[in-house]
Amino acid sequence: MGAQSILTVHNLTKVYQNGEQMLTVLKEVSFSLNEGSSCAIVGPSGSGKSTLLGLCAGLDYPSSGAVILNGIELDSLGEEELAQIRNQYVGFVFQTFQLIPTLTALENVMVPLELRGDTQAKRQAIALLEKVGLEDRIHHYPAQLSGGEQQRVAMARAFINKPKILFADEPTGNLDAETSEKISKMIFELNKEAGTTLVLVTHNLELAQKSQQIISIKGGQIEDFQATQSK
Amino acid sequence: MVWRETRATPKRLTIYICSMALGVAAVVAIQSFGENLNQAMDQQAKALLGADLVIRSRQPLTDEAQALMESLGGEQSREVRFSSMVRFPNSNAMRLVQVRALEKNFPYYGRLKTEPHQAAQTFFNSPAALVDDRILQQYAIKIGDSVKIGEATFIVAGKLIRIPGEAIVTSLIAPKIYISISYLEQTQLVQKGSRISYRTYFKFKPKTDVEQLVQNIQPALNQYHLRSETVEEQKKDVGRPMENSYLFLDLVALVALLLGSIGIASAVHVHIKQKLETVSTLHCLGVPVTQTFYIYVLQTVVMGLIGVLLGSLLGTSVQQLMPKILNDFLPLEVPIVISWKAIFQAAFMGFSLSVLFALLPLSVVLNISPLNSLRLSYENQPTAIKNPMKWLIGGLIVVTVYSFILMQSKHWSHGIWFLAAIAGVFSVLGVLSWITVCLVRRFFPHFWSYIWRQGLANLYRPNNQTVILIMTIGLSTFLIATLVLVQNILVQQVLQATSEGKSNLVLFDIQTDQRQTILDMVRASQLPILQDVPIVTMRLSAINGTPVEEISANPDSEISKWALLREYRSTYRENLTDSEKLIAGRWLGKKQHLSAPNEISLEEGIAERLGVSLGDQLVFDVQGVLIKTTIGSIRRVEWRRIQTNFFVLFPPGILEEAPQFHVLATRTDSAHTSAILQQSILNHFPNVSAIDLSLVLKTLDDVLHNIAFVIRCISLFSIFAGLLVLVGSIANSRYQRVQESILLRTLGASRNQIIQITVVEYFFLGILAATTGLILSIVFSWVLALFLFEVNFSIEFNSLIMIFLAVTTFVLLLGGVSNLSLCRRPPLEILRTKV
Repeated sequence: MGAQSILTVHNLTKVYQNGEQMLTVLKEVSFSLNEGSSCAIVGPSGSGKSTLLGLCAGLDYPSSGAVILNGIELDSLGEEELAQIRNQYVGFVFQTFQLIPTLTALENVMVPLELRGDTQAKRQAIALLEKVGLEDRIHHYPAQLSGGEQQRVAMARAFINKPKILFADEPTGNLDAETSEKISKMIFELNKEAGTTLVLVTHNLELAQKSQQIISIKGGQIEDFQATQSK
Repeated sequence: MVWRETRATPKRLTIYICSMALGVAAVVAIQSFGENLNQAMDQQAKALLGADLVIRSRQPLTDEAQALMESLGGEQSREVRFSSMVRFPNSNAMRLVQVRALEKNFPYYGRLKTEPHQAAQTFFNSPAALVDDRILQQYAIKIGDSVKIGEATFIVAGKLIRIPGEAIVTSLIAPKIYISISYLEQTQLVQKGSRISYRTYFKFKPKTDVEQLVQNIQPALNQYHLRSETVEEQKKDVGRPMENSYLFLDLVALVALLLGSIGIASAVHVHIKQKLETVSTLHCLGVPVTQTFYIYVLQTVVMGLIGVLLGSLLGTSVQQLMPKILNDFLPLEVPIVISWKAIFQAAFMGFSLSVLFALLPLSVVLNISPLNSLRLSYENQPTAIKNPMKWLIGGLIVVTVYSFILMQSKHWSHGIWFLAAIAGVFSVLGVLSWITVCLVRRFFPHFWSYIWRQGLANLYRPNNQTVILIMTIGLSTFLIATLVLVQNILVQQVLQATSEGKSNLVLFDIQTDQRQTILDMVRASQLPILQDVPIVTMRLSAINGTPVEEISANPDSEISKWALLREYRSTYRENLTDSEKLIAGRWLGKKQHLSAPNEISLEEGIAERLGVSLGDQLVFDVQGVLIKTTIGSIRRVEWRRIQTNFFVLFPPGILEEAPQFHVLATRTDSAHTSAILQQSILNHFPNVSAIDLSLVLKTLDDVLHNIAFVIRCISLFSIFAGLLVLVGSIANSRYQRVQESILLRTLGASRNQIIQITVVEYFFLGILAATTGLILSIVFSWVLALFLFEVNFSIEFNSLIMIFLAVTTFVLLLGGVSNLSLCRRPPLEILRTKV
């Protein structure tokens, strides 16, 4: 029995209206990812990578086509239901970390679970922070942490709700080479450990090569969909 | 470049302009109105007095005094005024009023404003009366009803709306009734011993030098115990309290301007913080530091000029409302005209302050390194304490504010006191706010649920300016709460003065032959006689051998003329009352032997005004008989009680044979008993008047209500300025809010959760600001109660809870509604934004 599809994208098109001009950012994009796999989306700036990631994660609605995440067709859902889907099945890591400045590292990690009213959030958050090596920084505020540390907190937050799929947007884009290496290693390790599907948008081809599949996108269309040697 | 910079942040700069416009508007409105008032006082100066000269006396004019009046020539009109109880038979109501019996033709300048208009003339012709509008409203009396004054009945001919030279608010304390002097005798209220003021009004030919005329007759006036008042003196008398009130309003307007300036500084602070990268990029591109600085200064100046223009327009509009707001406190009708002087003065002041306040955060630009375009390190800027530029600007702000106050009050000490007070209030509020925020961080309730924790934590979100917000909203709360607490203190003061065992009804103007009957009536009502006091009127004749006329004529004398020439109403008794305390000398309570000096006791205030002390000799003229006395003691008197108190106290054995009248004080257990007793006494003796607790409380309540209305209206400027700071802060932190909201939506937060977090944040902000303002207000009122009013301080919890709830709800609504749109931003933006 083959692996089940966690994300299916079918004829996805996104058009933005700018005044009287119509701007097609994505055009009839289709692909499918299996549970537990990893996929990098690469392409030049303005090619539609981030838009594709956002549509896959249910952050916006497509102009046409469909996104099926964990068997659920996203465009049939309202904004509140999408938020619930994101909270239950999706994790995010951003280029700019996106931590809440008024909360400590521990509290930032707890947010996704607390939003769903989970009372065990603290214990799990501490465990995850220990896993990313920040056990002695849990009560620090984001401003008191380095870039690498902030991204590790963001990763702990992304994994706390045990997501079925993790979307990472240029996760190493704001970090130095050494820290980048550490963070990317950590992402793939956690991904493998938790059996999470990973979708990452990157300019970094070295990072992309660590994924099992690479989708090259240009001008809003898939130029190439290739499997790598990574396992 | 200035325009390019400006168009990028329109909302923040709009708030800048609004903050400035509001502050300038407050000052323009108050200053323009002040100018109008001064002009009106100059133009209508004669109407303030109604005549060119008034000569008044406490006694009926002697033949010699009458001859002096006649020798002055001009048109003359007489008036007799006294306090008396009057009764309105239709509503069976009684009221203590000031009756003014007037001879035709007065006022010579200005006019009594009545309704109907012609009543001011027609009431002279019949037994008719002009009755204070408030009394008519209070007792539902209509024109055509009757009013009984003493033994005579008058028909109410018209409502008395305004008397030239007198503020309407004075009618709350002593409402007036005008009758024709031809019908005065029928009232039978003018009896020997009655407290009556006799006035003669003069109208001279134009260009008569009235001041010189008065100077010429001054010795004769002193000799016949007559007092004069000219237009110039009346202008000064009326002007002084107006000046004080005006200064107060000016200072409240200045507070609004300062709050607006804080709003400006706060908006510019955030603006510059977010422009640091642009600034350093400009530096990298070769733009000199000073040029970048000038770009932002020019931006501030342009915004400032727009703010000044809008503020002047708004202020001029508000100026039109001022006569309506201040109507009850104005001695004359003030025509409103645009005052360019006031506008320019206020605009200059507002503009200077706004630019100076904006320069405080702007000065950071001068210290920004081009390196910041590569790595932003705002924290590396020199702190305010180490930045000499900020010290210089701070100094200039202090000088500007001080000059402004000096322009208004002309007293250097006013400026110092106001600066100290404003610095004190802002510092205390600032420190309290800072402590509050620190305490929230220090004792953060980590065990709370996420929504509550996130809402509370948002208080120290970057750019949130919680301290400034708590300060400004706290200041508005402080103003409102202090007003309520001081009102309460004043009422408490009266209530304490009439608490258990102390008198709450005083009957006065009792003739000697009426005394026993009234005593019997009071006792028959089962009421105690708490005071039975004889009163003898007298004048001071000499101090230590020097006649008072001589002292009064001496220009170097520092002795108060009021104290020298006034009529003294003194009493005699053996013991001091419980409202009196001996602070110097001895009180024997009787003459030791026939040849011993007449040792009297003086109240400390009057002793100070007369410049006398223990052992000094005073000679009193007791209705023609000279009595030599020696000051044997000085007393401190608690004047607040509803009972008789005296400047001069004689021991028994000296004044018994002098003409006298009596005052009785009693304590009634209810307003009803008091009314029945007053009614019954008035039926028998119409000349007897009464003051009771309910009347004092009602009067106090009415006066305070009027004052509070004015203060509330003027404080609105400060409150709006505070709100603008709040709106500004919401706009300033909007960027962070949007980021946070989108992030939470991305992480799966529902719309409701985002709204709840916002509501919790403003709920806490409201609570903290209201609490800070209330704490300061309670402490301030407590100090006032303890040291100024000398009463037990009690907190009126109901009002404070109402204020607390109102402030919190208002902040909650304003914050909540302003942030509703946050939930509408699509989460996809998170992938396009950059922190």
